[in-house]
Amino acid sequence: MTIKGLAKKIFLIEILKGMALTLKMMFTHAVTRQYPEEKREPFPGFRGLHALVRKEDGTARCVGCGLCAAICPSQCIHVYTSEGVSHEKIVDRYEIEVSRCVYCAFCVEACPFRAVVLTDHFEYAAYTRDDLYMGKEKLLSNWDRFMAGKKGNEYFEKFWHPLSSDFSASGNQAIFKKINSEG
Amino acid sequence: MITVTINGKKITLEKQVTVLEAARSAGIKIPTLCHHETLEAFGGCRLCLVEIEKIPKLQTSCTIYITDGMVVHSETERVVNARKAMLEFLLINHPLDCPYCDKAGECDLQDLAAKYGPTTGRFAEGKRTHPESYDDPVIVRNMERCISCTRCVRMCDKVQGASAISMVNRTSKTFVEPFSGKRYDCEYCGNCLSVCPVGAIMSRMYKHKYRPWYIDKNINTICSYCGVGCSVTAQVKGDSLVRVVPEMGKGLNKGLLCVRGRFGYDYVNSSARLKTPLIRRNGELQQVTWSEAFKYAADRLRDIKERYGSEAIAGIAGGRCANEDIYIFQKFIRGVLGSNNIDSIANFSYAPAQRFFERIFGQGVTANSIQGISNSDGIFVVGGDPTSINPILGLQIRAAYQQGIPVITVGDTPGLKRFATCMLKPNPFTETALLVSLLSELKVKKQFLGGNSSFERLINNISALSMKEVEDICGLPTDNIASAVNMLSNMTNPSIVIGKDILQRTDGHINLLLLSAIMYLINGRVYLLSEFPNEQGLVDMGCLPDMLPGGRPIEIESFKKRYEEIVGLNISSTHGLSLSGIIENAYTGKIKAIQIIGENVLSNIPDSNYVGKAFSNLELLIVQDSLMTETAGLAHVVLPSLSWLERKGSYTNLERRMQFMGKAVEGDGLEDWRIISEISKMLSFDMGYKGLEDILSEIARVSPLHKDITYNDISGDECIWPYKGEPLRHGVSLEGMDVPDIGSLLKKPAKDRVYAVFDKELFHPDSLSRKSAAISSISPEPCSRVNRALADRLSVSEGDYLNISTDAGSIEMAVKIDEDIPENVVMIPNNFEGKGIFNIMQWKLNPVLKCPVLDGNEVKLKKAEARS
Amino acid sequence: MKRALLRNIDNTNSADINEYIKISGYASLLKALEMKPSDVIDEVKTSGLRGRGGAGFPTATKWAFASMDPKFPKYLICNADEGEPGTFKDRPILEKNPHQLIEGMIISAYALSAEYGYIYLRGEYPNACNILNNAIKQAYGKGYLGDNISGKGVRFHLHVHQGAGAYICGEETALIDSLEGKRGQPRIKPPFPVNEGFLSRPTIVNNVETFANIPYIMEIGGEQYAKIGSPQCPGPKLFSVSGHVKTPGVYELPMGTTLREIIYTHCGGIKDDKKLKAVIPGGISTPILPADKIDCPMDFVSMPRYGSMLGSGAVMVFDESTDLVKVCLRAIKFFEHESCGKCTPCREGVGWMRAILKRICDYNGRETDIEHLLEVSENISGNTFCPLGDGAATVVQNFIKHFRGEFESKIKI
Repeated sequence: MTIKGLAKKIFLIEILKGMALTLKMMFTHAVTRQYPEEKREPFPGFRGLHALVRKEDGTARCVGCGLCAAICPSQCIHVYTSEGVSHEKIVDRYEIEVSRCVYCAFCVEACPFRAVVLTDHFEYAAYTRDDLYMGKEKLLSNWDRFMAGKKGNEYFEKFWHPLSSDFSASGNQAIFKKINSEG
Repeated sequence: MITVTINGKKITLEKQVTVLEAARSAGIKIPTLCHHETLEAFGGCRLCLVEIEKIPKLQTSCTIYITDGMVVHSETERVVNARKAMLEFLLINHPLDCPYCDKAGECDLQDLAAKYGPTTGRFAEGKRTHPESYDDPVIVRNMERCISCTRCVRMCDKVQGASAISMVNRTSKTFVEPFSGKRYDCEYCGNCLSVCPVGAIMSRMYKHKYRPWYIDKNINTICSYCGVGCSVTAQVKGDSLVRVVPEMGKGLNKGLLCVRGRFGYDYVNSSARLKTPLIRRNGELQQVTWSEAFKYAADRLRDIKERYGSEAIAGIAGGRCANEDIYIFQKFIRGVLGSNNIDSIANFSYAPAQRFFERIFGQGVTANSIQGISNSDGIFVVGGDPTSINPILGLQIRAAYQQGIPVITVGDTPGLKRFATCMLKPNPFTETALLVSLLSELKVKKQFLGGNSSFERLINNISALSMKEVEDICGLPTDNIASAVNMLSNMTNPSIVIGKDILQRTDGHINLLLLSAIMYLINGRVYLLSEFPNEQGLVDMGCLPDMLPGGRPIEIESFKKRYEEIVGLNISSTHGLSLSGIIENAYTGKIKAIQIIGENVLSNIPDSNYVGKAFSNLELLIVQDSLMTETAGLAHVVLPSLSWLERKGSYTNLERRMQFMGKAVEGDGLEDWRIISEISKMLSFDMGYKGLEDILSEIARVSPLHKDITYNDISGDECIWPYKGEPLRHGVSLEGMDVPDIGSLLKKPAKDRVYAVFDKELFHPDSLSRKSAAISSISPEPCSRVNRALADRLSVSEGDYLNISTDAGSIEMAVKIDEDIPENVVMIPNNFEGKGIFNIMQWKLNPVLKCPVLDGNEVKLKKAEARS
Repeated sequence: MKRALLRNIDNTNSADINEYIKISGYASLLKALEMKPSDVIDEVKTSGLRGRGGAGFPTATKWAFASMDPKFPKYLICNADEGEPGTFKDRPILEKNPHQLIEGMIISAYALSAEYGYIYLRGEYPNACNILNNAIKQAYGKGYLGDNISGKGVRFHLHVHQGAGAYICGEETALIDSLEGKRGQPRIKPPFPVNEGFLSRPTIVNNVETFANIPYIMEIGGEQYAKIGSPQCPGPKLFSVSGHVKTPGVYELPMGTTLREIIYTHCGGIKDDKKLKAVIPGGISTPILPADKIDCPMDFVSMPRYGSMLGSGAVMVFDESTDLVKVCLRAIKFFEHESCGKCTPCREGVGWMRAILKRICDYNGRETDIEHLLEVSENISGNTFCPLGDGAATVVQNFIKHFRGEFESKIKI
């Protein structure tokens, strides 16, 4: 040990330094947020609670292609479809096991119809697992609560980049006219 | 030896094959769309273009054959660009509705576009549109998606031989359509939809209900409709069945299926499925618990056994039960209940025919590979239409004909109409005279002079009929017979396909003798058409009144002793009653209790009224079935058994190949063997099986034929005759096969009478398919067939209803006019409840074969009153 | 020059067998029947006759292949499915001189030991059908057709089959499929029709004009014939001239006559004495030639040197007032309509080219369209199953090659 080191020990230099910093910080603003009283606005594109997009006519935009279920790394999306009276594809059930989701938003990217989103809502703790097993109606109501209106559109403009433009400009596909009235 | 270089890799091949095949044999991938292994080359999609040195243009590898020293490049820039261009072309008129299309995920075009194609399309002008067609009940056509690869058309023309669909229009407006433009008028094999690379032709049965990536399990199993035993794959999502599909190139069917296999599987989810055990109380079937049902059944069986003796109890096994079930069943009836009265529907046609041939030629004579049919140099079909009884076997005959192999048919074989070199259609019930003349002419042609063996002497003693007489009796021109004989005598390795019509005749045993003689003379291989998936199993597992497992006669002491030792039960050595005997004795009250597993006896054997009365005389009728049938409706105890797809087991097909069927889904009920062993336990004999393996190992010990057999053998590639065991060796027994008195055969059918003939329909072979919604939508009601002349005489036209009556009863049925059947015959199917030929048909027993004789059923016909 | 193929054409009753016999018709047949079949083939070989259907394949070589094949029976088919736009050269033979065709077919059948012949006639020629049927009846009557031709023990039966209006059925294998009652689509080659054609038997398919040349060769001898016109592909040739000329029509001229001579000497020059803009020399699928290239001799060998092909000899003349982009669009519309739908590039690609051309014609073209069009046509050419798709691609490529300016002017406005 050098003499310098010995001196530091004897005069408690390190402790004084620390105390000085503490003293200094007493006069600055606090950084701790007082959650839940004080909430922070999430950044755009935040990946929170799931929602299914509701079209203007009140129905879900989802056509049941199942690409979200196919790409989901935690296998937490379940889609059940059937044939309707006029041979269209009907989404009977669309279920997300929210408690198993890893919030990668691959489902959002895979969706060719902009039908599923991750909203910026993140406060959805529940007392039972069943509450976190969300069906179609619940997911649609999530859209109404958190994304409806301008917010949803902005989200898609900024964060949805389908690989092929063919799906977005599908006006001349007879079959798409049936399912995607918004075009 | 031909050596080619593909992408720098030297490949040496013996045969001259296409460049594509050469590349694939070396593991080099060349994308294709219109190419398919089972179909001939087409060269239309242009995806398989390759660059070949010294040829300036790119060549399609599926059409160009390799030559020695050829140098091929499949991944040069030029080829890659051309491939990309072809995919771009294919996609300009292909709707990009993949999210909506059911094919997505297993679509060839999608896969290729993802792998090789352009990422964006440049075609901005409007795509063609074409409305989706739902005119057909089971097949949906979306011709917007069609890429004109013509795989379906080639499949339909060349493999299935139905020629039901065609390309329509030209240019980019080309699409595929059945000739009606609406509904298909075809055999509904559905092989077109299994070769469609895109979503243009698809099944409606699972439309919009699945995505390929949802499927959790693929279970290999065997189709449960007929004796061919086609391999199919059941696909399961979670705990529910998604669909049953074939796998191209797999199994003895090589991925081809018939209407029953492809669309008929939905009976598994039919509303007629039994869910709980039922017991008849106060005249009504009431739901009870399993233990109640077991106890009730056991108590009643014990009671009847004590009161009337074992001989008052009988068992009838069904052709759709697995080998394990029927083994346990015969063990239960024989050993536990002490009665040899056990039989099955196999004894009505399949088993007697097989036994007849085996007596002359030895055990296993019918065990011939179905694939061998198309490799033979001639085919002789007699006694039924293979394309409706065993459609996949029928396809082999069609394929053989298309290769130029002569096909001779005797009788009504509408499915081979365009695939027969010579069709002999004798007057109804005069096949015997025709066979006599064929045999006697063959003897001359083959210069047969008799021989030393007893069978040769027997053949020699069969006297001839003059051609004039035959012409008179059969109504066939002598030229036709002569040309058939000519063809037969030129065959060196022919296949003889025999249906049950030929033996369910008064002279059925003589017909079989004549066929044996013909077979002997032309060195033929015999195939017996089998209507149930496990008819052979019924024979092999000892569900016969006189045979123990392995086809061992019960009266031979050593076999009986071995059985008793291994099973641990004593059995009687007297022959039991056969199926007809059981029914008769039930009618007269000698049989008091019958246990039936998996068979709708009331519907599937003739004279339902008689059978119904016999069953209602019983004190106890136990029916184990997965569906509520007419027979179950009469039962005192109904025990729901598990259906096909819900249980494991093994089937033995008509070529005596054992195949394994897997379990795909859970169902209500128990396996038949489990039900029987529970009842047995109540009767104080605990069979003690823990699973199927225990049963099979017991079978392997009891039956010398199935020695050392395990499930590994059965689920492996080939488990064919004679397995690892020993066939029964016995001398030629010609007992009861006397030389027929040819003079007695000279019966001319009365022209002024009309006879009913059982029409074995493709869509509804028996009472099972009517429980399938899909098949019922294809063929919703029974239809009788008459000749136009007869129709005119009755003043009925197509679509009218006909009243058909005999002494036994009468039925009403729609009429179809068929020019190809004789004038004095009405063809009646037996496929709908209360409306089948067996409701009105009476029968007697053939004294030698002990099978029913169905000829000479005279009917009265009149036009039915108009229906609303 | 004395007419060889249309010699009796001015006679209003020229289709009658007696009129034909008057001008020493069927004499060549009798002459040929005296020769050995192989000598007939040799004679045709000496003459250097090339198929007049468009490809210019040496006729004797084709015949030799078929005569070497041991399979019997052999079939002889006359391709009278004259569907190429601008081509109407066979029509005068069919309607005015049918017996020369029939005689040619009988001689060919004798040379090849074929016993059955078919004339696959274009569906749009109902008159020719009547005339041909009548002529065949007359030939049977005179004993030139039947089981024992002219008492020489030679057997040949001839039938007329009317097509149903498909351009593709001019392709020989599609023609054979159509004749068999199937959908008319080209077959995979090999096997070639000379080995496995109609009903899988050796089959010779020749053009009407080719057959019509046979009696003439027999008449004057192969050596004499070889001296007519161009040395490499000799003989008389029918040119059907249409478009902006003063006297359009069918002209029988020796092979190798230059395009200039045809237009200015024989057809009297351009209509209204306007300036020549372009010529399509051999039917719509041959490359277009600009006005400065019309000094080319019209034969199978010379035309490729000028960047075009002789094809069927259908000369289409366009004067300076013609909108060539529209011509191009019209041609592509034809190819789109006639694409049989078998192979991808032709089925889809030609329609795509039509869509782009339509856009340009409607002044809605985009800057990239010409390159795009060229790229599509390059993707088609060489990759199609039969030459139909190649033909369509060639049209677009050559129109753009020679007249790019016209395309550009439509886009820039």
